[in-house]
Amino acid sequence: MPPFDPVVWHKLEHVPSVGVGATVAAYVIALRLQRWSGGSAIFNPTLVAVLLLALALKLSGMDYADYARSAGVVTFLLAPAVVLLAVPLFRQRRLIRDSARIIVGSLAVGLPAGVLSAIGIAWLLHADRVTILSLAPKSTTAGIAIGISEKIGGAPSLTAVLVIMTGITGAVIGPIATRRMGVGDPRAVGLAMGIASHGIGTARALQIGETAGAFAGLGMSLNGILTAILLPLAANLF
Amino acid sequence: MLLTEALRVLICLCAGEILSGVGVLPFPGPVIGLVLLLANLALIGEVPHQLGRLADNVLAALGMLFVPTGVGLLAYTHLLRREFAPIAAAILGGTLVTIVVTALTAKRLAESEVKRRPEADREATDAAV
Repeated sequence: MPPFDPVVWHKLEHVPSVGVGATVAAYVIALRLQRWSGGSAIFNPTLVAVLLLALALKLSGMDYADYARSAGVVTFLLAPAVVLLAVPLFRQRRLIRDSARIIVGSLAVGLPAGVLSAIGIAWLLHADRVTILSLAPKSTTAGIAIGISEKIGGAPSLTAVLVIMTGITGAVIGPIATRRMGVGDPRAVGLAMGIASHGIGTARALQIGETAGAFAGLGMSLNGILTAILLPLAANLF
Repeated sequence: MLLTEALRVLICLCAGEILSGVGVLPFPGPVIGLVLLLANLALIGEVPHQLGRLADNVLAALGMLFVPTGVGLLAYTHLLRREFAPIAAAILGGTLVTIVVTALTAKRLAESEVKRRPEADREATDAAV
C-alpha cells in the first residue's frame, strides 16, 4: 500500500484526533503569535486559529463538515464551559452587591444599546435577514452568542466571527473613547467594555487595572445571561 | 473529587438542554445550565475547591472552544463579501455607541453615588488604586 493512499486519507478525516489535534495546534500557534505581537488585540488567537484552519481546509481539500465532525469534542466542550461561567460570576457576588446600582443601570442601557445599534445600522444599510439575526447577539460572549443565534434563526458560524470582530473593536476603541469622554472611574470603563465587547474587551480592561477588569467580567457575564433570556423572547414577538 | 464536580456541571447542562430542547424555556440550554449552577452555588454558599479548579482550567481555553464553529465561516464568504459594508458599519458603529452610552450611564450613576454615600465611594476609589 503506498504511503499516501487517498482512500486511507479519506478515512482519517473522520478520526477525532485529526480534527481535535488540528484545532489545538492552530490555537497554540495563534497564542504564540499573539505573545510575539506583544498581546495585541488584533492578533486575537481565536480569529487567527479560525483563519489558519480555514486555509488548511482549502489547501488539503477537506470538507468543512468532515472537519467539524472530527473536531466535535471541542465544540461540545463549549456547552459545559458556558455553564462554568457561573463560577467566576459567583465569586464576584460581593462586588455585585456593593455596586448593584451602577451595574444594573449600565446593563439597562448597555444591553439594548448593543443589540439595537447593531441591528438598526445593519437594517438601515439593507443587510440580509440572516446577517441581522446573526449580528443581534454580537456583544455577548461567543459561547452564549452562538446559542442565541441558533435560537433566533441566525447563522452560528457567522455569529462566532462577528462576535470576535466586535470584541477586537471594543478592545481597541474602548480605552480611547472613554478617555476622550472624560470617564475615569474604572468601574464605568470596565462595565462599558465588558458589556459592549465581552471577553476580548474584558482582557483589555484587565490591562487597565484590576477594578476595571473585574467590572468588565461582571458586565460580560450578566449581559450574556440577560441577552440570552431577552433576545429569544423578543424574537418570538416578531 | 474533580469528577463529581464535572458531574455537577453536566447535570446542570443536561437539565438546561432538556428544558430548552422540549421548549419549556426558549433560552439556549447552556445558559439555563449556567443559571442552575449559579443557584446551586448560592445554596452551597461557596465554590467547591475542585469546581473552582475545573472552571479556571476550562475557561482559560474558552477561546479555543468556538474555533471549529468559527471555521464554518467558510460557508459564508460570499455573504461576507456582499454585505461587508453593513456588517462593518454595524460592528464599528454599534460597538462605539454601546461603549459611549454605557460608560456615560455608569459615570453618572457613580457620581450620584458620591453625593449619596461619600464613604462608599472613597472605598471604591481606594480599590481602584
